[in-house]
Amino acid sequence: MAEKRKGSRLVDSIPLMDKRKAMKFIIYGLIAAILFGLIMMISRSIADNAGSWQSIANQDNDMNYWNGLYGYNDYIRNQEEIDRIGYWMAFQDVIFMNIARVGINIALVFILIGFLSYAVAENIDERTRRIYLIISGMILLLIMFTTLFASISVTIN
Amino acid sequence: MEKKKLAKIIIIIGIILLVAGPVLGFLVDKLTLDSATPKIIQESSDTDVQNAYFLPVSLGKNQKLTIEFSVYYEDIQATIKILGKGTYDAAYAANSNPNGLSGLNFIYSEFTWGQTPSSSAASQTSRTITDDGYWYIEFAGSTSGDYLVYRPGAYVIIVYGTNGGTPTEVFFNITVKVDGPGDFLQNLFIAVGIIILVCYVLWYSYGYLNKLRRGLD
Repeated sequence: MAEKRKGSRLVDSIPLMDKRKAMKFIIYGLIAAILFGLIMMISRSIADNAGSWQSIANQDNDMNYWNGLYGYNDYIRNQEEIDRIGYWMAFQDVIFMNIARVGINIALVFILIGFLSYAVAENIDERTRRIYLIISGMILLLIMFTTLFASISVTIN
Repeated sequence: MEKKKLAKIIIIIGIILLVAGPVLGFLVDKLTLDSATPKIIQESSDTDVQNAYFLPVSLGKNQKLTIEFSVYYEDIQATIKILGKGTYDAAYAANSNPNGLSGLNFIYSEFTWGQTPSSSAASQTSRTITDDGYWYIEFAGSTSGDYLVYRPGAYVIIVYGTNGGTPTEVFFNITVKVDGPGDFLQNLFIAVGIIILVCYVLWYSYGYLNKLRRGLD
């Protein structure tokens, strides 16, 4: 009962957050979004370059064999190991992209709450509050689209 | 002060294990069973298996032998074969002629630069060197085509030969290595090192968070 009251107090207090707390939500949300975005980019880069890495590793394997560092059986074993690591380098993208997607959406919720708090703050002028409301709406749209549609993605070249 | 000292010790142990893992793995990747340059046997080994060089080995699961067999002495002809222990024991009891014994299949490699390795490796039951030659041999019990089949068991490596010159001694070089626990030890050390460091980071973070909470209150 007490926990329920505590939960409802938190939800009630969100729109009434003071500027300092709202700014904290936005900054923490941004930092979290940037970190998860970074994980996303690194993971995608590793997956995209798995083939190049496999080519280098296979060439090294060939050269080590030709140099007589190991025999044919070890050469085959290394080749299989290179394939396994290459497949994992490509597959890890699925795991880390989904973790990062969840993390970014949570971070966006924090940013949304921050901007919504600004939008309902009484001590800010009407025009600025409208801008905050539009930003909140845009963030909400982004969250909805990235959560509900798997085919939507943002690509930066 | 005590906590700081303990933290340092834990971090150092974790890092030592992380560094020692690959080093130890490399050092015990292969264990040398015999290494001799040259090994000397008598010419009579060509007719009596009892006079041939022999090395009994035992192979476990996923374990293989690596043999470097070479001859660089004039008038020498030497042959290497690998037999099952039962076959060798029977041949030894009867003092059979080693030329008539059927060896088990192994893979030998010729390190030809620029060529696909599959075209420079083949399965054979024996290798003979006359005067000069070098073979890199891998053995795990049997082969399928040019690939090793891992068959754990007891085996015996034999070498016999002749000397076309006046002396009766047969000289050859041989190095026999068996797969060691390198991979297992490397993974174990790295895993323990990572676990120690992760546990320390978690423990430190927990203490720091507690400190922050007390500070905020």
